Amino acid sequence: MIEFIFQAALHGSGTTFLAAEAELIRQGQPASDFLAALGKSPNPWDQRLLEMLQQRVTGNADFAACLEFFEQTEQQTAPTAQGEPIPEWVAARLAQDFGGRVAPLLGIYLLKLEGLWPYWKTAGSLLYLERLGPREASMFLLEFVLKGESNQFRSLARKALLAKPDPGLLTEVTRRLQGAEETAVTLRQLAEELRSRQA
Amino acid sequence: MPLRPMLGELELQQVQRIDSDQEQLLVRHAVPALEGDFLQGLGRRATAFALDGVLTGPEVGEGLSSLREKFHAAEPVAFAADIATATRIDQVLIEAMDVREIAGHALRFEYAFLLREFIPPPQPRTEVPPLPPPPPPEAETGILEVEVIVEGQPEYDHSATTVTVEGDQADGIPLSRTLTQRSANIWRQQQFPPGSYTCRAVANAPPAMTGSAPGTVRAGETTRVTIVLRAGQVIATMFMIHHRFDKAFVEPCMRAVLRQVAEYAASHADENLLIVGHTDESGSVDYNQSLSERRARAAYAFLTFGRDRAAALAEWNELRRQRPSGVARTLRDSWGAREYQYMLQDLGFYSGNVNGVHDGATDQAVRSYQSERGLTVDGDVGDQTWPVLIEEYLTRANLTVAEDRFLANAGDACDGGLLKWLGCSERMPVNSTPRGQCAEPAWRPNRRTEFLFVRAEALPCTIPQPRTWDLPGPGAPPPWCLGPGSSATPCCFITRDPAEADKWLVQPSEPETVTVRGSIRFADGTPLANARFLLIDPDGEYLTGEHVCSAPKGEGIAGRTDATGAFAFTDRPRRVGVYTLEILEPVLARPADDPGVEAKGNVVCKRLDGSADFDVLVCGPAATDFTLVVEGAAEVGAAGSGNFIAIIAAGEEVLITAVTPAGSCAAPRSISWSGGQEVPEHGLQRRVGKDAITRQTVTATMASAGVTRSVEIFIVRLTLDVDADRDGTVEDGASGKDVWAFGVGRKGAIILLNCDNDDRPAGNSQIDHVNQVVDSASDIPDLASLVVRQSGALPAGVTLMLATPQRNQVRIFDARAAAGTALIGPAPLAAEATIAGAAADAVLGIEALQYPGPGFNGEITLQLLLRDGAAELARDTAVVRVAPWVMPSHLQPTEELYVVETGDNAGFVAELAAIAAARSILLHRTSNSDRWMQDTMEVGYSRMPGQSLPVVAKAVRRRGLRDFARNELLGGDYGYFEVSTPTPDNTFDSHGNLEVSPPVLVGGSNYRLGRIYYGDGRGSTPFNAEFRQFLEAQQVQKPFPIDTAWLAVGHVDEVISFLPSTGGKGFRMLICDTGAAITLLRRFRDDGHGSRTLFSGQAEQISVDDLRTELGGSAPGELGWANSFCQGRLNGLRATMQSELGLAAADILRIPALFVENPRSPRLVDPALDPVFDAHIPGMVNLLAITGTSVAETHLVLARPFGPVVGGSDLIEAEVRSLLAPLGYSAGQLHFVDDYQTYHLLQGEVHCGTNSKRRPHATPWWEQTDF
Repeated sequence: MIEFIFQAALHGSGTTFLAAEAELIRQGQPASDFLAALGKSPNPWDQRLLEMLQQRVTGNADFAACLEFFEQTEQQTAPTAQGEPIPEWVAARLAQDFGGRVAPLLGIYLLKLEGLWPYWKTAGSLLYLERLGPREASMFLLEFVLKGESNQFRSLARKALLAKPDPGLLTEVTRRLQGAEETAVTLRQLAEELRSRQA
Repeated sequence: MPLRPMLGELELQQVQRIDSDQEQLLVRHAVPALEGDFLQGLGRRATAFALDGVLTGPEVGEGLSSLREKFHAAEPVAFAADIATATRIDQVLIEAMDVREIAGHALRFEYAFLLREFIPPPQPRTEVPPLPPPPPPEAETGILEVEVIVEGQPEYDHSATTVTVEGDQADGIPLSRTLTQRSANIWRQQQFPPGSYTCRAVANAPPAMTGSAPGTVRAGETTRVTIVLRAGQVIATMFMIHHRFDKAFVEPCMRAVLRQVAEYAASHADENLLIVGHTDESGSVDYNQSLSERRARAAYAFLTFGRDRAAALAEWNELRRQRPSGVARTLRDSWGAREYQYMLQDLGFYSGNVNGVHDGATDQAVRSYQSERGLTVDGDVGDQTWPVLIEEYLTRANLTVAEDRFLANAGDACDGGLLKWLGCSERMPVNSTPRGQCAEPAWRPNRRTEFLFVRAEALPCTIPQPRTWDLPGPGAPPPWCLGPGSSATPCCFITRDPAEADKWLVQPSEPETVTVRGSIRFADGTPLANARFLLIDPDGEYLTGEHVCSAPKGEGIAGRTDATGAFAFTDRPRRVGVYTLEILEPVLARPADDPGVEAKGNVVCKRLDGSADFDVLVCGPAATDFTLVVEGAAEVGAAGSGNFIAIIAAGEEVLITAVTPAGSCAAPRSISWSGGQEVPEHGLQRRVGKDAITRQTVTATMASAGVTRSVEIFIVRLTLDVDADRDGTVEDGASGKDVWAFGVGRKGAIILLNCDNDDRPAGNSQIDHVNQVVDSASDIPDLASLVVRQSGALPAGVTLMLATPQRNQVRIFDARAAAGTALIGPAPLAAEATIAGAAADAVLGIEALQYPGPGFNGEITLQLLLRDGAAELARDTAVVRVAPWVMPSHLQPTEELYVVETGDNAGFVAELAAIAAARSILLHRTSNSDRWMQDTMEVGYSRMPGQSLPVVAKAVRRRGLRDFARNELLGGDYGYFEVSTPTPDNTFDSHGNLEVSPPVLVGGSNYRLGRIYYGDGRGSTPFNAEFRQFLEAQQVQKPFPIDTAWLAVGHVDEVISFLPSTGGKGFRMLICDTGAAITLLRRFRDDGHGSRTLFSGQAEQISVDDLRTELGGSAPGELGWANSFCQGRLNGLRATMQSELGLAAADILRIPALFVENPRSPRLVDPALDPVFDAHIPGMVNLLAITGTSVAETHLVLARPFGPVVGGSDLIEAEVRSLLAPLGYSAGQLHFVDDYQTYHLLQGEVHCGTNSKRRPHATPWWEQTDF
């Protein structure tokens, strides 16, 4: 059962992800044990997600405070004409209050909750990651550049990615590009074969 | 003594480091195939140097502040130091400026400057490239340039101006030429023969103007002649025919010219015709007077045969008679074998050469003619045969020029009827007449009859009675009323010289020229080489030469084709018109490119206009078969079906030609026709006019070969009609419907996005354009009309289709009725549909499915297609445009108001309700926790002639009111739409951040519907891209962004508003102004109200004095700093609005306002980030205008400012009342309502909490032409 929930958190997004995450937290120790037993994932993104979930389940105080900050801010700004805080303020507050400690949470949430989150959370989180060092932020930003839904937000992520020099970024981008090209070749070949069969 | 470095006014103390950087600019040129490079020095770069050190002292702050301003502005700064002396640097730019205050040391700063030598950029050079030199004139010729000037009209359009040059070349040869190479008002002719000329210019467009000037062209030189055009002279537009030597007979080739004359007379009711005969100079003047009159009389009879047959026949019968020997004054013109050969050949009885010899072939032709016409067959053309032959010859043209086209022969109570014709004898020889060879040169161009069309009612001079006026007599000739005139000046009324301004100036009707080339060949291409021929141009000149002085005087000199059968006359351009080619060989010929003309003999007539050469086909054997070729109609069914369809277009015609096999020719009369109409000069063609709906069978029979062929022509009328002229009705067959254009009086029909919900009362929740039905009878006015008109039966297998390439943007119903069925639209409908043939016009309904937007400019192309199977036969196209969404400004009368009841704002709502009720305006209330009614929507409208819909645009905003517009406003005749976007909303997407100005004139651009403005957001939080693109795509209210990023909420309505006003432009722009508020507070203090409180009863209550004290604080975060910052932004906004809307200072009213930094301002967390602000005093610019039909009927609802109260009066309110009074607002029109707790403290004011629907602009959007 826990594995099923974990898979939902791993592959789901939006409310599915939130429900799965909440269930893992509710399960407590069994969920923690399950996650610990999974070992290290060869996929860096999956590994980050796993670690984040482990911390959520075990009760990472910074993560909780960060989400509490989000909630309070939302409540305070909702009745106003503005209706939301300014993303730059959000980013500055996150950096001021948490340093880079909530990057593992927000980096994952960015992709998982883009479709649910209001503008300020997504933009604020991206600007927050921009303020951090490459080691803490690059992987999340790159993932968002590739998989984010909104052009506007992807553009923000790209800008954030390029804001600070990251020696390893080009290597990573090259590696991903190579993979994409290999995939493209495979797909092209398959398409050719399908076309010739249809003919 | 070393200088201490000075940067601007600041002494750079304690310099700790100086680095300098000087670079040469070298460019490397590789040496091909060799080692080593050439290096080229291009000078040096500006020297850079870095200075680091420490600054101390109280004056440092001010100096650094000054430097920082220069740094931001990238302005040069004075610099003095040793290093400057050494390098002669006296001005620098600050490339980098890094200053840090050293902790623990007051007024002590570390500095690091990177300075760059300032080298002023070179002045931009504007080099005008030299004009290319004109090509040098060729040594043997010169260049003639004629400049034509109309005084006071430098932009005069010279398209109807003709420039001619006449005179003598250097060798004495006359030259007459029309110049054709024009650029603006200058005619330029290269390779012009040297000589002395008169250049003449005539502007024929009314009022006619003329002018002339002399010019001498010299070899190798360019001659410039300037002509000044002046009005006053009567222009005589001239057609002409030419005649054989000593003959008045009208030859068959001239018939085409006379047909032109008749057509011109019929179509120029404001011009009168005078026919004037001329002769060459051979023979006596006395004799030539009669001859010239005979020519004019022959032409007059020819032109009036259709309306006065007997008179014309009588005239020609007299003309054909033999002139008694020695008699000069006679109408008899001595026609003989040549004339009846011409006529018999034209009628198809004689195919031999026209040579004036009654030989065996001629005799046979005469007998054949006599036999066919039931005459005595004797081979003699005498009194029995001539009249029949003449009548038949004249009947072929059967021309008619009405009586009222001629001048009157009347005066002094005398009415001589018409002035039918006149003769000039030999008194007006043309300029090209050869001189010096003999006293009386023959010259065919002089043997002419002119047809002069003038805008005049009478001759400009008295003329003598024509010599042959009373001939043939006896009888009762009409009286001669004009005159008396001198017999020496029978031609006093016309001239070719503009200097003779009292005469009519003769101008050729077709001054254009062509280069004459041609060929004579057989059908297989074999040339008729070395063949003798004569070629006569439209002016009557034998291009091959004429026997000018000696026998056979007046005859043409034969030319010869070359080995390829070709001929060319390229020495000079010749006039456009009818050319006569007489092949002096025993051949039958016809124009090679005109299969409708029979091969009658050796004479071929052809009009040359530059589109084709004079190519002639020599015929082989007589044709024994033919096919019918149809032009102007499309064949339907299988090839060779004989069924054709032509779509009606007035004035056009279907041509049916009997085409014989290659090489063979049909003789005249060899093919007989039934059906259709005769085509002049084209015996092998029939025509069927498209002016009437008809189904006609045309049959051609070649009896000699026993071949009959028929075609059936279906002429139908098919049009796709729309309301192209935007008057609310669909015109029948209107033009200009296929191109859509903005502007008054321009064309293009309009359709509406059918975005209301007319059958909502019946429970349908779908917007009308979403479903595929007409949503009840109420929906019909929202559909534009599209009318398919069809008359005439279609041939079997032919279908009529309606189609559009924009099927996803439109839906078309088969009827504009509640029972209409959708024909065309998005899937599952198709892009085209068959229109069932109907006798009556089919009125279809059409609705748009989307507004203009990215990738769709709003234009829909509709096509009515006529198809035969899959083949398209014809199409009619109409372009319609989807009406854009338009925002009304505050100047438009308010029709409905909207507000949210939140539970805590009952007082506010009650005040608003009272104000609305007093104006009989509906206040629509809804309950919600989201109070920001302005931000959730914008109510605009869409309009087509005859129908206008209010249309609410839902904001890209996902807050509590997100469903309000759809759930509560959408309904019958209340449209709704939203723009799809993948990006979640931010505060700039609220429609409090979307407003429109009143109509404005900006420079030369007239924005009749105003311009939309919006705050464009911040880098991380921009105005929604999809909505911006939507606004731009509407075109008619050209949007522009303004900077509202410094406001926490960021909405334009917080700081700018427009009001109707008396005077000025009819409106004023209100803008927040902190300076006005600070001045006002000072005045309160000066008036002794410093202890009075603002915001009384609120937590923020503060005295005037304390507030002024706070406003004195200039440190970041303090109130003074905040308002100074905001005023800087407001000044920028004001400048932007003035520039974008063409506003003057007088158009703007500054309303007192104060701002305070928002508690979640980013700067408060990170000083490097920008601050944002909220209204401190409740924002009064952020108001609701309840606009009436005049300023006096307009009411404003503003936030109560909670200013200091003195004597029961709020001093800030009083100030605003006094500011608005000059705009026409009395105290009773201004309503200050308390929104402090319920809106102000939540960052909004009255406008944010309300919304309105307003009346559409009086000016239709389609009249907008500036975008």
